[in-house]
Amino acid sequence: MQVFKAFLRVLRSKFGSAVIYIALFALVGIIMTKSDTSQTVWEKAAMAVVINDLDNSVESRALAECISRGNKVVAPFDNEDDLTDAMYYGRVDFALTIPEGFGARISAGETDGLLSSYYIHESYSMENLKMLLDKFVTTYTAYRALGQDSDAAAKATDEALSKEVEVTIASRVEEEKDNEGLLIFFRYLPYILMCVIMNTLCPALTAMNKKDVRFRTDCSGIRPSSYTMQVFSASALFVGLIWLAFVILGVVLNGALYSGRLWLVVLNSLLFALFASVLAMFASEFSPSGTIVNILTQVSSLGMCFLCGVFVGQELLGSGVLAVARFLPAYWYIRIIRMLNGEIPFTASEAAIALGIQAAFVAMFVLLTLLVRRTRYAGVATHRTAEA
Amino acid sequence: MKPTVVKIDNLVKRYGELVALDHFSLEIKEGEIFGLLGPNGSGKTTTINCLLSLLTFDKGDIEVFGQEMTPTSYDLKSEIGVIMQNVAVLDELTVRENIDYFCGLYVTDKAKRKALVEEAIRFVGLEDFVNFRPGKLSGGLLRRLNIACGIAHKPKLIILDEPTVAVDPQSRNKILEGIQELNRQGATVIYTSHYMEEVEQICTRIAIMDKGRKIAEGTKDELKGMIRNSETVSIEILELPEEAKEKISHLPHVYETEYDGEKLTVRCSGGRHNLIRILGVLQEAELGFGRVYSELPTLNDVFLEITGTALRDAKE
Amino acid sequence: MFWHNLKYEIKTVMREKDFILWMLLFPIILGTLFKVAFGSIYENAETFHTIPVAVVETKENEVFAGMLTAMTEGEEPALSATVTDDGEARKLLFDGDVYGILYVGDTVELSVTGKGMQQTILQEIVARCSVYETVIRDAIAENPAAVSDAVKALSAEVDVCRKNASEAGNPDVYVQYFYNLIAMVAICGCMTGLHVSTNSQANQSTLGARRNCSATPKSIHLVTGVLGSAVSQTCSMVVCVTFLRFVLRVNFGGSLFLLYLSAILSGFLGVTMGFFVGSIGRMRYEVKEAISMSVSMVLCFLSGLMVGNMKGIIAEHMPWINRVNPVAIMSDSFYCLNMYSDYRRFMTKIVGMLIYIVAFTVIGVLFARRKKYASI
Repeated sequence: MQVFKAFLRVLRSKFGSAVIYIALFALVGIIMTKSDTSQTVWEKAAMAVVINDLDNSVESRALAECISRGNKVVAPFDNEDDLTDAMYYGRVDFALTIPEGFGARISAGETDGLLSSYYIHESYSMENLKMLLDKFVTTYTAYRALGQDSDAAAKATDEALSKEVEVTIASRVEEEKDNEGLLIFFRYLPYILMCVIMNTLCPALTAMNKKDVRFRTDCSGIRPSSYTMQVFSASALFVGLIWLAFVILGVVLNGALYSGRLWLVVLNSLLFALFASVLAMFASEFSPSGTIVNILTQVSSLGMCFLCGVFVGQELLGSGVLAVARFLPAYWYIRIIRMLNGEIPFTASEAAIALGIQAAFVAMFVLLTLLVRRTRYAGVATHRTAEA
Repeated sequence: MKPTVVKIDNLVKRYGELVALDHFSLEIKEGEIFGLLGPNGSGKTTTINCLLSLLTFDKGDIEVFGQEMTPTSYDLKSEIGVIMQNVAVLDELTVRENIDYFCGLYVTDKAKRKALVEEAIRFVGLEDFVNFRPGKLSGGLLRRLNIACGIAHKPKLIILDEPTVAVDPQSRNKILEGIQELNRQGATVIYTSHYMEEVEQICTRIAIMDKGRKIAEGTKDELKGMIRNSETVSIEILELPEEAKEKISHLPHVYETEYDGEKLTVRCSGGRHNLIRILGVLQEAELGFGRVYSELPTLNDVFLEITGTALRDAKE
Repeated sequence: MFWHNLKYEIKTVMREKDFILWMLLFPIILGTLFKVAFGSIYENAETFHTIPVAVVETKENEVFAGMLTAMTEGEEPALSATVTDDGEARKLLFDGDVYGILYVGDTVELSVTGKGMQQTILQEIVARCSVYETVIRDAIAENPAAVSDAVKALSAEVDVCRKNASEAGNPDVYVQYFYNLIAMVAICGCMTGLHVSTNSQANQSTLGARRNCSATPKSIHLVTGVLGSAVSQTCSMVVCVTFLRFVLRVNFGGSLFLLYLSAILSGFLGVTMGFFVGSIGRMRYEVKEAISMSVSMVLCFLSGLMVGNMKGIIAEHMPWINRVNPVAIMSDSFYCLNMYSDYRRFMTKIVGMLIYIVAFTVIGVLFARRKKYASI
């Protein structure tokens, strides 16, 4: 138990930095959960539009009314740069200018070049806008063809276009969708767990692996297997506490205890936390300095999270990327989240496979760590044998 | 009379409840090798750090070369060379680059610096290692580099804070000889150590510290003169009747007699022929004995007599 | 003294091989991963491509047939329709081969699996059919003689809107992940900046104690330390931008020279931020390291490194955060170069960075200078 206790003491000395990491990354987790939905902004169904109505006629107002139905109308910006920013970051899809004389021209039967739109992304929204505007103008022209005056035609157009169309959502089986907000929190958890665990566990493990300490331990009566076991269990305890902190944060964000299939997410995150800790153990076998641990953590956590669809959804990533991502545990972690989110069908066997693969990654890194320990320290052992 | 180089007056430094320096005063004259002797934790390094204006202190005055020492006394600092207890060099630079770097913090003239650096390298005997990085040097060589970095700019006052910790005897001798050489060249030296042999060997004047206080000060002979002990006689003897022991303890100048069943220790204060008289008593009683030693007092005896604890025991 | 110090500061940082290697490898590895992950998302997922749809006809519908023909013709038509039976259509839908199924009878109905702009467009088509019916019904009721005119008007091919695409740089939003990557590399310079203050403070290292005893003013140690670290950081920044621009061929738009300049300044800002954190407070090095690293990552997060539209969300709710977040300022400077035709906003960002650099350095030096310590 000596090593176990000593290691916990070393970990306790890292407590201050651990608290900073946990607090700040918990904050990141909360902001992510509160500010985002699992759908990225470029995939939204409604459009955000800036309308510059320079005409202010019956027709222009009817058109604006028609566009605002189901879409978001954003107030015009003071300058063009702000508009560019808003369009670039997807807060506005396009700016539509209704020029002066629009009402008169449409009323006179003109149909082409009546309006102008300004945009950055040649996106689906632009196609949608085109269809919407065409529909408005053709409908209005048709009503005018029936002999209605411009007021009546505008009114009739508005009425005709306001009718809702029903769309059925087809699904193979009734997909149960679990608590979405909580799933978002858990979706980003791999990044947070990797950052917190690697940044705190690595320096502590490195301290234990320091050459002099290691030599001294090797000279003592303790068996290497017992030493490793004690370090593993102390790490597990420490990681367990970090993980628990985030699981509790999840309960707080959720406002209720986990229930039903949500326990699967909790198990999922536990497996991932274990993975992060064995990765930290593996990395610390190479005695990296504090700065290098930081860089290593960022490279591995950001790299894995981007490749596996933690930040940018798997549905957006190319099949080539996903084929590579399959060889990383975060991919399987996210699959569970997607199953529970109703993005892909949930089956118990698929979920078990995803969990099993993550467990296999944990086992693999445990073995790798032991292997590195043996090879790296083999030189010392041989030397000692030769002396004996 | 030689001018005063360092004057510390009534210095008090507290770490919370702990009093690290308790009204500590000191005056060091030009050309001295001044030893600060004391067990670990007695306040030697704290004194040095206060003197160098690295530490704040609660009370007292410190003057160096007759001026008040502050963190921005750059003129004063340029006359001081410091060799820290821990090796303070840059791992990424070679031996020569390290010495040049630290020398350059004092000497701006490039040509002059070059000569000084070469001299420092020769002085510490690192000629064969100039292109080595510190990581490749042995403990002793590293200490020598540490010293070279501190003295390359030829300071008038050199402060060495336990420079021989964990150093092999050969390097230690080299270091001690070097310090004496620097002193001959005109530098005043402050030397802190808990190795009394070193202090005895090189220091012209010594202050003994314990628990933040100066308990004695003077030349080694003056210090030894402060105590009763002037000779300690030890005799290996397996049998010592009480009568003989009593006789010995009543001999002139003998003030303490100890017998542990194997060795008789007799402490005498002054006087000559102590050994002959003691042996005379043993012969008279027809007692056989083994090896006989007669030792003059050491600084340990001084420390022991003043504090009641041996310096060696007080170390840890 | 200044140049002597600077020379050795540069020598020292440039010889920290492990660190330099990682600082160079780190943007190369992450940049490559980003390129692999996002290289084609914008092209594939964001820009318009013909929408595949399945059509199941239960009864002939002339209006729809006409509309469908109009929409499936041309160079890049809105739709590509697969006319098939219900079973096959559902299979196509669930396999993700089509976005929806249009059931065509007297009326047109739409069945989809999710909600997205493609589905919205399909919905628009169904809505148009319904409008068509409404208008004809109204025509028959109001003016039967004009029905044919109404039909003609409804099926006329029109081009109502002139489209003016912004002429600014590269519209690919995913490039902003690379902006943020450069900004992250820059802010990681805080690690070297942190070393500068540690190595200059007597209570944090013996080296600091020795420097404090020297005849060189502490401010010179500090400033040359910061400059030395900035030089190594500059190398990282140059390698990072060069790799992203010329090896991965990321299209940053705008002037390449200004891109380098801005990246180098960003690196400088990162170094001074670390120096600032290192100079204030009396925490242990590890704690300061944890603060610098986690604060950096939070700033990167707020700037959109992890969630791309974060900056947009913040701009909507708390725009001041984007104005003060140094990482956001860095990535914005790259964005400004790309998107704006004039350099007004770019210059604001550059000035913002300079203010931070000066403020961090001055405050850091003021805190660290002339310091005596209560304990060492």
